[in-house]
Amino acid sequence: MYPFGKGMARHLPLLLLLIPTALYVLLGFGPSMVTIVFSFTDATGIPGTEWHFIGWENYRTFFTASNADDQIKAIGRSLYFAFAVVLIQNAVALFVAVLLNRKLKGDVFYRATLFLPVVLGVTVSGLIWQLMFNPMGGPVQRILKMFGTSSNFFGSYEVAFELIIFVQIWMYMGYSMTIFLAGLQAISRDLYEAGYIDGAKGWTAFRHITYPMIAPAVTVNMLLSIIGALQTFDIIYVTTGGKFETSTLAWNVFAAAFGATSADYGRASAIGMIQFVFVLIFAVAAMSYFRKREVEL
Amino acid sequence: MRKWSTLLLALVMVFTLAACGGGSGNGGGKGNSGPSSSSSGGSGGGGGSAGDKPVTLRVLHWINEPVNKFMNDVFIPQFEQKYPNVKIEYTTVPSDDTYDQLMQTRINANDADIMAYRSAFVGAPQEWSPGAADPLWKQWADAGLIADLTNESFLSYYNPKDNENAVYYNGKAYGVNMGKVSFTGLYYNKEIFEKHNLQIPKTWDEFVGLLETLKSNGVTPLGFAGRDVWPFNLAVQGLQATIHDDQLAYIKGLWTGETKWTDPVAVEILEKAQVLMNYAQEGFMGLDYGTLPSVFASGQVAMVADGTWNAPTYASLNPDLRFGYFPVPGSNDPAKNAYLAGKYDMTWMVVEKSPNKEWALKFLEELSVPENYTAFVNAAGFLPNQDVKVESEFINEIMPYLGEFKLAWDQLFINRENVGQYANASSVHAEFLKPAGPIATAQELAALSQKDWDAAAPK
Amino acid sequence: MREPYSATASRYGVIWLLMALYLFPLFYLLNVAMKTQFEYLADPVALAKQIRFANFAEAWKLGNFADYLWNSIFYTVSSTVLTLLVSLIAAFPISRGYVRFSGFFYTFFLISLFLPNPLIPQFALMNELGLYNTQIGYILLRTSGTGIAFLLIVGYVKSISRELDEAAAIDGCGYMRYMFTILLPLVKPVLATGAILTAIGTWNDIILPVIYLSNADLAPVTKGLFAFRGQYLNNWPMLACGIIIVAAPLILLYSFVQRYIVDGALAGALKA
Repeated sequence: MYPFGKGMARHLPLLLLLIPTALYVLLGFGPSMVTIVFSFTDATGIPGTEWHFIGWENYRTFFTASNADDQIKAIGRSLYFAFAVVLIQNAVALFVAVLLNRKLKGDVFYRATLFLPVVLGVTVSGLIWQLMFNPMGGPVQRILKMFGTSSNFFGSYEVAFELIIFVQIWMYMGYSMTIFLAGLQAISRDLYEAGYIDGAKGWTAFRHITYPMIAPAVTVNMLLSIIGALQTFDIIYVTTGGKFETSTLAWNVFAAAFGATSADYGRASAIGMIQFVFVLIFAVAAMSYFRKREVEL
Repeated sequence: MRKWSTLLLALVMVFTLAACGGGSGNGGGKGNSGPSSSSSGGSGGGGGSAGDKPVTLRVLHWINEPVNKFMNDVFIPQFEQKYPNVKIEYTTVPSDDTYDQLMQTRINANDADIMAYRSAFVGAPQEWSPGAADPLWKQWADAGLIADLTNESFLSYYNPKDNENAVYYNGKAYGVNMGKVSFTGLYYNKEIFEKHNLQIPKTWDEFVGLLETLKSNGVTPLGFAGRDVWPFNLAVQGLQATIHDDQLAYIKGLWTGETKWTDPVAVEILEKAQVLMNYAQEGFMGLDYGTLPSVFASGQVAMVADGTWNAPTYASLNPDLRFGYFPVPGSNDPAKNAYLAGKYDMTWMVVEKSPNKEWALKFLEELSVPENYTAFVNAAGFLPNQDVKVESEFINEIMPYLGEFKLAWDQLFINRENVGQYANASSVHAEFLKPAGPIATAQELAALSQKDWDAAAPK
Repeated sequence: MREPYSATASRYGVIWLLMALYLFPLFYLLNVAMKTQFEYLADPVALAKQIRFANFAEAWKLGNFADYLWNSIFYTVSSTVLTLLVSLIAAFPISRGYVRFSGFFYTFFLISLFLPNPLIPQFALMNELGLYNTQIGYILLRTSGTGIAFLLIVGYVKSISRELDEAAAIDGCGYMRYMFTILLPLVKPVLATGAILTAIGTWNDIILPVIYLSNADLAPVTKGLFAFRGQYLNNWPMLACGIIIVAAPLILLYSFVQRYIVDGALAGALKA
């Protein structure tokens, strides 16, 4: 029942709604659908060239070409990145949030410091850690020397990718922690008091009081984070540029379309679609979760 | 409550207005073209008159300090002074993938007038390489995106042979090549060499002996910028140039099946590359190309793998540094080792659909005039494509190694499409070997490369 | 509930380790910034020989840091504000069912979070529209009425009683006026959270600026600083100065604003 008028005025909400809808269809939904189309063509970015439909050719090439192995490995890395970042980041964030969930001396300072990398940004963070991981006598190398080893860091096939994951977590841990902290601080002290009387403290208190209270928000957050992590590659751009086996699906889409040797839109779109399949799996999970919550609301 | 939302709305208006006003930086491809007086004859015609419409010429180039400096400090002001209505927007970005990406997006968005291409127009698929991908320049030429310069008079300033080798395709010239560089050698610190009584090695064995001497005297023999990978591959190409009898024949053989990645000559190259790595500075795989000059200039290593284009950088970083350059002696035959190979370096291309094409051509014309060209080549440290005298002591010193100009591996190699990582791009991947990478022996790597190569064979 | 001393000690211990992990890199950065190039190469870890600020002046001259910072702020603020507005316009009628097929719209907008990668067709489109290499183009790309802000507002509006709408309507308040003058202040908690999320996304974006903001003077901090790195690769102290020049005002700004961020997150999380 619309209370704000009748007749012509009745259409106002719809008219206004057209603004976000137009924006969405033009810049979001539309292009995404076109990606599907492109993936079945040999379109290139080079203006003036004709393109044709080539069916499943791009997909076939992806899985059967000589470099299919590398592509499959990139898929593996995408998943590895998404899971490692989301799980570790949230676990650490939760732990730290619990740690800070008390009146501590200087707690404002601690929280602010941990959130700082988010504000500094991906370029600053990436560059700072390149400085720290300087293999020619940088601080971390010095420490490793004391233990008798050394590493090539971002130039190493063994650890470059893990380092990227580390920097990503370092950057955004403070953000997750802030969310968790907010959630934790909403849990009434009384619950803990009551639990304490029943003998529940430390880990038990966490399992039976804390976690159930924040679980719903956590699940949604994690699902969305995984989807986000499957699509981000800014940190790869800033640190290794995809070299040393640090490429992921998302990175490959970018490189294939805007990269050094090709403007192969068709192939890039196909890679994007394959990426989408994985996103879809998590999307379905998230959607059904939303549905449940929607009903509850 | 009310004031809050009004303020909010006001803010949004302000920002949106500012965006529209400040918005579209350049003339977005729809600007007017320059004056209709096209003067492609003679050297540089007259200056622009005050009545000409203002033109912004967008020039793309990668970061190469000496050249950038020359452009920014000498040539561009000179050009702008002569033609006051033209403003040159000279954009430079790092010379790795970043530049390629920039070239791609700009030309696809028709947002550039002149672009520098990294090399001459090499690598077009041949009859013996069926199914190979077209290099970017060929795709652009075929699509009509880069201008045909065959009839431009300024081309005649350059040696016909160089033009033929560098910029001709299907009988037409699509660019202007600025000169040659060599990169299959090593810079060496003369002072360190003198201190340890070392001579330029003429054979591989001599070279290894030299490396040992340095190492046992506590000097780091070699410096590589492994992080960007290609700088290290310069040294590998040095090995290839002096070990292969005929690089092109070997490459053809790979396609036809006559030669293999696992042939003894190829394995030898990989093994020797591994030796080089073992004498390199610690953590060389983490060192990026930009930092390499300071490492050499500060005397931390005795030799570095780099190209002759960087000689001016070394000179300016440390004027006291005395350095030279010699080919990597890959074989034990001094005659074979006495050659430096390289490539034709930057080729200027004009974007065909550019609205400022007239002025782009004029720009190239000015640059090609022998007086300006000589200044350029001396600043850049290139080997000239015109018959001009080069001042650089450094270049003159290495002239004996140059003889009949030899192309390096990455200029000759034509790769198969979608080939796996052990055989892709334009060099052999010695960096997969220990200590840089995970593979222990050269044989292993060669086998993997052959496997990837075979799997990508055209059906 | 007081906890045993050992627990408190280990609590502080872990916290201080974390502080080291987050603060040491910044101090190290400062140290590097004050060295000369050769000083740094000789020993990257040693303390700088003297407090030297000359590098900063030089770095400031060489890079357009003021531009980068301004651009970042401009892009982030405008796209965030526009996003919030557009999300509000979308969320309100959908949440209340004031539009026909609001269920359809909701699902349609919801799937925006899970669509295939649109990067390539977007690029083609932006070129066609002439929005390539423009500020307004980039801001439009970062504005969306269908993202997290939208979802948060939809959920939150449901908790605001319909009777408020009706009461306002009876008092003669129009639809738009209601939305912007009465509803908007009420949804502030989720707006804050939505704002932070959107802002973080745009602030940290480097890929889209690399693709779309070709001109150096349009670059935000992410791209600008990265380009500066490309220029001065062989001079880490200079680069460190550049990073600090960018980071310092941010840290300053942040220290004033951080209270609101935490409060905002708190409020949003409570209600979400």
